[in-house]
Amino acid sequence: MNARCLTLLGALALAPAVLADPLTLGPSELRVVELAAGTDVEAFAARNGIEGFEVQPLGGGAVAVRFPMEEGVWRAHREALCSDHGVAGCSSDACLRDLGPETPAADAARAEPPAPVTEPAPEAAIFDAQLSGTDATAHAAVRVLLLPHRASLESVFGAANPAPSGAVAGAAGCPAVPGEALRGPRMASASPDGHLRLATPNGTHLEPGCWDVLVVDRCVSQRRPLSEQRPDIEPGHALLLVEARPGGKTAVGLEQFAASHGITILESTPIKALDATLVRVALTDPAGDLPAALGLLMQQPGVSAAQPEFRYQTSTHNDPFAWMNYGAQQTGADRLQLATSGAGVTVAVIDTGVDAGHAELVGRVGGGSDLTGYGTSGDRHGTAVAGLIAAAADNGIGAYGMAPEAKVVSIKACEPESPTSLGARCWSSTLARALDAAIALKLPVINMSLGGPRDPLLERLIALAASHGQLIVAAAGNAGPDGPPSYPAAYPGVLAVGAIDSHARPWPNSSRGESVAVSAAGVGVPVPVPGETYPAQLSGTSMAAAHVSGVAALLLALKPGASGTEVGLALRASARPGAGGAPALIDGCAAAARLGVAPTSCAEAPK
Amino acid sequence: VSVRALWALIASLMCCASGATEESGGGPGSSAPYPDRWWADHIGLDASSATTDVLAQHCAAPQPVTVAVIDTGIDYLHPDLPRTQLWVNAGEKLNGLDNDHDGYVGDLIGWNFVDGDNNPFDDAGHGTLIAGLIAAAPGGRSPGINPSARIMALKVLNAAGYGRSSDLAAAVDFARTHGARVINLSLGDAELGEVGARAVRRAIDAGVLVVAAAGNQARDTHDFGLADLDGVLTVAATDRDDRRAKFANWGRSVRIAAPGVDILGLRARGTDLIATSGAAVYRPGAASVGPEGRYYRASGTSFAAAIVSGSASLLLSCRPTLTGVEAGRLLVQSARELEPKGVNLQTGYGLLDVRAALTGDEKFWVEAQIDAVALGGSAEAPTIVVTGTTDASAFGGARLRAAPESYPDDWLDVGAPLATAVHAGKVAEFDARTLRGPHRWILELVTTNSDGKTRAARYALDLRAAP
Repeated sequence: MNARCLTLLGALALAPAVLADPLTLGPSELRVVELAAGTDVEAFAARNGIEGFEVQPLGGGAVAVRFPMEEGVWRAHREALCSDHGVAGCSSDACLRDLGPETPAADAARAEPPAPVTEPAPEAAIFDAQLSGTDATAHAAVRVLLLPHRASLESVFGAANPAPSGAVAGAAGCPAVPGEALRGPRMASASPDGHLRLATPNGTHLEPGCWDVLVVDRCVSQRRPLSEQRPDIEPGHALLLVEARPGGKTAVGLEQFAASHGITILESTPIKALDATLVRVALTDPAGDLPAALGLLMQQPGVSAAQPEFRYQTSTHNDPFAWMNYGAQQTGADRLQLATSGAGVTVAVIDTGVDAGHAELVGRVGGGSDLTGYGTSGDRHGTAVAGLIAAAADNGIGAYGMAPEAKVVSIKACEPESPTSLGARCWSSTLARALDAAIALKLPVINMSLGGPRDPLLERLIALAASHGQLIVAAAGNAGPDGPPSYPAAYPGVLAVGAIDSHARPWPNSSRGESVAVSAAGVGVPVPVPGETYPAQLSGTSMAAAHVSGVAALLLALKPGASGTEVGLALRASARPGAGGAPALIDGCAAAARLGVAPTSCAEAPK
Repeated sequence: VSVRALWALIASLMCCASGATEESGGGPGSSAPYPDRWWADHIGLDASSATTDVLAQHCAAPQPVTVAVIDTGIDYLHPDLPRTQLWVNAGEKLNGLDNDHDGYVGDLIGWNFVDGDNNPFDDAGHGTLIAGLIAAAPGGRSPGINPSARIMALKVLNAAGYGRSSDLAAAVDFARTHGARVINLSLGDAELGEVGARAVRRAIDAGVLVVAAAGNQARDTHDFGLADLDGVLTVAATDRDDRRAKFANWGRSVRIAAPGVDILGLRARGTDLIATSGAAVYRPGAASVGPEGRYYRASGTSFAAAIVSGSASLLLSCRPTLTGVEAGRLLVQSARELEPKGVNLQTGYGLLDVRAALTGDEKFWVEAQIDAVALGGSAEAPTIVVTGTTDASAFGGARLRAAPESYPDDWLDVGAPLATAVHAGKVAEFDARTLRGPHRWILELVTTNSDGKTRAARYALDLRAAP
């Protein structure tokens, strides 16, 4: 087997114009040594230049250590490595396989009749990728499988939950035995030219949370939840980015093309930051072939990008906990507030609408534009986020924000599921326009307590905002430690915030991962409620992000010349190590010290 | 339900199952019905009064026996694999801690070495077939050979059926250190690797029986890492006519043969093993059998190995004083001789015979095996060198003889008689010119025990093909 990493170019067919992350399968060339009990594994690895090793316990204290090593290196170092101190066994880590079934075709009498030729059913692509390289033999072994997302063993064998008869093998909330319900291919092999495509009959409903996609090349495999492969999109809708041209004639050509291809132009809005026009279109048949349509649209003159309309959600759980405004103390906001209250700083809140008339927020909320088309509103989620940033202190009601005299600009890009719901939907198009507005306003901090799939349009705008020195603070997401990455939190340069409780323990539902840099209060924190004087207690990474935006506002007030990104870097670099696997804890005073503006109140013992 | 009642039940099921007709699957060429357990009476497990008597007589109080299935995992939600049929780690609790301090957190029923967690659920379907053949509860359509077996589920193969030698090593050590007495390894490839081989060696040295499938490439197991390891009980597959299955690997390491063609077993939900193994001519779903596709029919030495593992565990359940390795030798020694006669490279000592093994004497054994025949000596004085094994519990002697293939009764003694046992070494060297005339000869090595009992191994020699 040659040394290679299998790279899938463009793991997703939904947006042909903009390829998702290339998927790289792990190294195929592994070696394994057995080390006698008591051997120092770290020292062994360091001596032999071994990186990225994994340790498996063998009986009696011995361990198996496996590590990637290319054939050439292995040949050169094998002798020395295998005779090193403590090595009891040493070999390539062979790839074995099951010894059955024997292909029925080997026994002609048992061969099944070929399936009757029928009209090919329309299909919905789940996975569509091109393997790198041209080695047809190497491609032949690569397969993609759709597998039910597994339930945990605890849910089946847990003491409180003895295995019920007819129990479900899938994850909680999934239909019983999802695999049986699906008619059509659950497995596909790569074609000789390296094309790997898995599709299910169109109309087969697949709950993304109930399925995993496994890409496997013999022993090398990668398993990901389907929700990552198949993001949440608005069916039948697409977004086009049309470059602005003198005279603005491109739109005319596009209109003609749309009219002749059954595509309706819903709306055209300028995105000034990109010097382009965002065109939202709808296909006549919502179940039609979106990738094909996007491919066609991409070819139209002036169209620089075409992509699905992704959907996003606000990141809050309604999960009341004990009444406690611990976030201000935990982040150091309390001590910073003795020196400043954030006056003069404005934070953009891209969210649902904010109740600007709430007693906690009077005189603090600007903007109020609606980009959703549902109209302006004072909603629970936006009001909670705005309140955590800037709710008035010492006014006799509720709690207080991290920066009680800062201002927020409310940009409504999300619509609550119902007027009193915390849950809300946002879309690529509304978020793009919201970011465009925030960029135009040159606001130093942009709070995005929401998450969803990766989106090239938003990624571009966020990178642009960051290059202007604007700090984007985003909720890490509420999918738990094993959940998929949530965007915008996982984009580079975004300050992603996980949630912790009053004891600085990680909130179990908080997303984790490399991109989640810091954490802040997000369990049972007090927030203002539209139309009510009494606060509610909410949990979620939405709340945690709002805490950090508020602290950032305080720091900007302390150091007026600083940019948002400067403050973001200081917050990231000064955060304290988290406990129990939590990301580092935001420390406003340490960040102020890093910026050289630590107030004397920071030297005092915490309140 | 008492154990005795279970035995009565399983016996009656075998009786009825043998007359059952196929209700799905099959094909145009399958006008004859495929009984669900066609193989049971081929290995002495039929419902005849003799077997029932044997079980009643020799298995009055079967003991639980742990069998490690190192494979793709198991469907522990299958109705025929209830918790009673699973090994449960008494030292472990599901509280997020490593309560038994074995380095595996929450290893309640086994371990998933592929994903590094405690959930060995079968996402490929292979391991569930294996586990079911060994230990499926009575009452279903495909009851296991030993209802007293307890399956330890160790997942080392991924959903496409591939897995690492390092994971195999860790799994074999897990099985050995957690009380497994039989380890079923229906997996392999050309290489195994030293670390994996050492783990298997440790298990055998500890008295654990390691059963391996010979493989399905119709080639010499000499080039097939795991199956060729010394001390492993390597299993070839036979068909309904008790002939070696065409796909089964052969070679000196094959010890025994067991049914491995059209074997019905349990199907893990959501899986279609033959489809995911990349079979060229296969209609998805065609191998699923029964309502809701609870069962699955497939062929392979994998399943022959499972039948041997199940039988070995049955021996251990019925005769608890045996070690795993002793049970393995008893199965080999009591195997029923198949055509071609004698211990040979195709089916080893012959076809599994559970009934004979249940009553066999573990203290008594006679071994004869010809591993290879080569040319030696010089060009002027060429010799034929025969290597192999001859031994017995009370070795009385051994001799080698030859007969032309066309006159198989015209035996000619060749080489010197042996007075001492030989293990995988030279058993004879004789003048090549002794074999005059025909090109094709049968060599036979006969070991004699002190009580006069003999065992013969045969080897077909073609002088033109000799190197």
